[in-house]
Amino acid sequence: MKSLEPSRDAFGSDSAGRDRAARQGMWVFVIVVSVVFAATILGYLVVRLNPHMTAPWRAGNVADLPFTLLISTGVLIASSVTLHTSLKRVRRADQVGCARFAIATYWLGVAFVLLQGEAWWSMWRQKVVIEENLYAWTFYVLTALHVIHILGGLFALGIVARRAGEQKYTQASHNGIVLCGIYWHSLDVIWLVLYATLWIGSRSA
Amino acid sequence: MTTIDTPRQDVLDSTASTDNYLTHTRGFLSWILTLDHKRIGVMYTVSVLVSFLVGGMFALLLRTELLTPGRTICSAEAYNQFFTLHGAIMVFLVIIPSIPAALGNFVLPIMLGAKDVAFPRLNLFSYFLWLGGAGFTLYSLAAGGFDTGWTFYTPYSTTTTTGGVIPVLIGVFILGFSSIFTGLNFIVTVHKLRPPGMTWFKMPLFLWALYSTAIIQVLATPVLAITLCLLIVERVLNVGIFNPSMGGDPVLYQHFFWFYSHPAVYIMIVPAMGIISEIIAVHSHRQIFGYRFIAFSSIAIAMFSFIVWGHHMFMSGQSGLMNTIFSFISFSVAIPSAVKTFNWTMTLYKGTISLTAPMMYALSFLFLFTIGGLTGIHCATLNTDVHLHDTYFVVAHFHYVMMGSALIGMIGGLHHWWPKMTGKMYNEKIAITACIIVFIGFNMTFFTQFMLGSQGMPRRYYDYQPEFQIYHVISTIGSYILAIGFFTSAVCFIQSLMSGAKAPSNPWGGVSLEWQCASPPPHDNFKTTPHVGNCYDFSVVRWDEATKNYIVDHKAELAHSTSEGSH
Repeated sequence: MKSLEPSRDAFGSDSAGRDRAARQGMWVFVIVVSVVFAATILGYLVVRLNPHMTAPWRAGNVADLPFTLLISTGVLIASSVTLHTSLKRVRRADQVGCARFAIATYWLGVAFVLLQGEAWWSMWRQKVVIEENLYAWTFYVLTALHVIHILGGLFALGIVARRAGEQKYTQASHNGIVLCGIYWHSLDVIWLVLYATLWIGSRSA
Repeated sequence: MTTIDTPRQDVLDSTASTDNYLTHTRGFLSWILTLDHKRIGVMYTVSVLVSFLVGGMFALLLRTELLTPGRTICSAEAYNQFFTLHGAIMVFLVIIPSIPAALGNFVLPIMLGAKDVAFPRLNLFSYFLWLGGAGFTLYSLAAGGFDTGWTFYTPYSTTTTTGGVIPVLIGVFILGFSSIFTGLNFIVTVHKLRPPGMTWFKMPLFLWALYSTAIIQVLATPVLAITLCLLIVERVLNVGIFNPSMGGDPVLYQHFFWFYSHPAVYIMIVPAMGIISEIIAVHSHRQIFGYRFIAFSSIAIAMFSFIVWGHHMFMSGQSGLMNTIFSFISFSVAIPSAVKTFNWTMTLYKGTISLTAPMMYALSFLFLFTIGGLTGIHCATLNTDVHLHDTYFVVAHFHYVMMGSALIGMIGGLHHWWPKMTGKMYNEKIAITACIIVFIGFNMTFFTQFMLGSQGMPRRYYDYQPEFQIYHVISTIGSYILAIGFFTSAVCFIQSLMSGAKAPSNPWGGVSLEWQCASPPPHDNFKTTPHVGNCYDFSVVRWDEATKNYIVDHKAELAHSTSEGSH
């Protein structure tokens, strides 16, 4: 892609500096995303632990969190492992290995989204509908919020996987994978916290 | 994508001195697709000023309506929409982006000695987000408007029948991201693009202020984003965590909202304080007093901003313990604010004050901010707040801070950097006249509202008891005077653009780096990495009668810096 304004780069020939700045920018963005989820989880806890609750959290016959979530969690962790392996490979100048693991990460990510969809569908089938109680509402809204962020990550992963496939990343220059990794691993950790919260919150009344 | 810019050999040859960012490339596309922080800053400035005009019109409409009790010009429903629009436009479209995104974008990289911000593309994207957010906000008018108040409190916002609620929520959501990305950009720029010699404590105080602001933008705005998301979902589906009939909690919305919106007040005021630090030092030609205290007080205000939100909710049924804690912490904010005010006053003391328009605005700021800040103490005090809550006293208090301080700071900064941005001088007489009219109009409008509020006139009311009318009339006349003042200011700027004298590079005698590059700055800001000295040491500046310009004497500066270094 031809640059719009080639002169508009404050780093000039300092490409290491540019990479460091990009990584810092990504970390700041991860903080932004973390604040979003921290606020959401806090809000969840407030309504979950509300002592003056006027409606039951979860009517007795409402289904548990679907088992699929456990599988999707495993898949997401696996995708983090493959992404990290991809980075390790390119650092060892193994471009083929790097591409292979980057592409694997992408498909694991896709699988995660499909599994989350399956989890939604299984809840829907069991008539856990959003109008009934906050247990259902928070389940759908919180998982959807996470999946939206995963979709953004998948978009980036798609670009990274393609570029890795074209062997654009070298031992010296592979900041794209690093940036993608910062975001993806953070979403992984966020999911673990979110899932744990949802799971503990779904137990008992 | 095609290359918009023509190749830039011209910069390197002898015509370089005539090349500036305004003439570097031409055409609409070269502006709207620019990655140049200066042009993005200018586009923000224009957009913000247009929004200011729109928001101001709504202010005049609602003040006119309040001239008499009962109906004056419009129905109660229309009035509700007017004050809501006035608030939402002024907060989200005007004051929040006015200093960081508009002036900050223009000034920050030049002051820092960098060529641009760290992520120029993201910077342009922020501007497009602003445009998108503004578009949705305007669209909400066509969709039926909204009358929720700018705070969008549930359950009213989820049940009101006005059709524009969802569009404006989406608009504010998008504007939030514009603000977040600007903050992210500034943080990384300040960390990674300081040239050699520009240590943290050599940075001009405006940069400290912008950095503190950026921290708040990045940490607080995401909370607003998720809150508005949940609110939209709730309004669409009619169920959600703010709905008490489902076991949700409407007060949770208030907590979320103020967790963002109180820090947002500091997003507005802290950069204005940064501007005032610059103006007061430069226009009184005196080393800023207590540099480190001002710098750290910006950071302190940023930190405090996150733990005072509960003072908006003293009447929400929050526990007495929480109220006491929030009240106490809110008082603490007075400390860093007073540190700044005293340091500015000390800088003025025995300074060689030039009563230029920026200085006039800075002096107005000192006066108005003191009133705005001190009346905040009444609102933070629990027993007085019970009486003052939701009255005009609160309205007057936050207008003194958000308009009398933040916006006055912005206009002062605009005058201060106007010669740099446009390459033209403005007419000092008209500018000072405008400032005085604004000052008089402002106090007439809002000081009366302190009286209204302390006598019990509730805010946001369409109708009122006849005994309040005299205050409302004075306040409304004040608002007209205020409008005349801003109109005079606009005339001043337009006249400057059309026939202003050519601005020298350093009309005020500043030492920070932006005064050491041409007016208007060249496309790349600096041809070589600039020399960084003490940006508040005005002894190195001398007036050059031949060019009618202040010159920064680099030899004297170098001598100073080496003698400093030898200590």
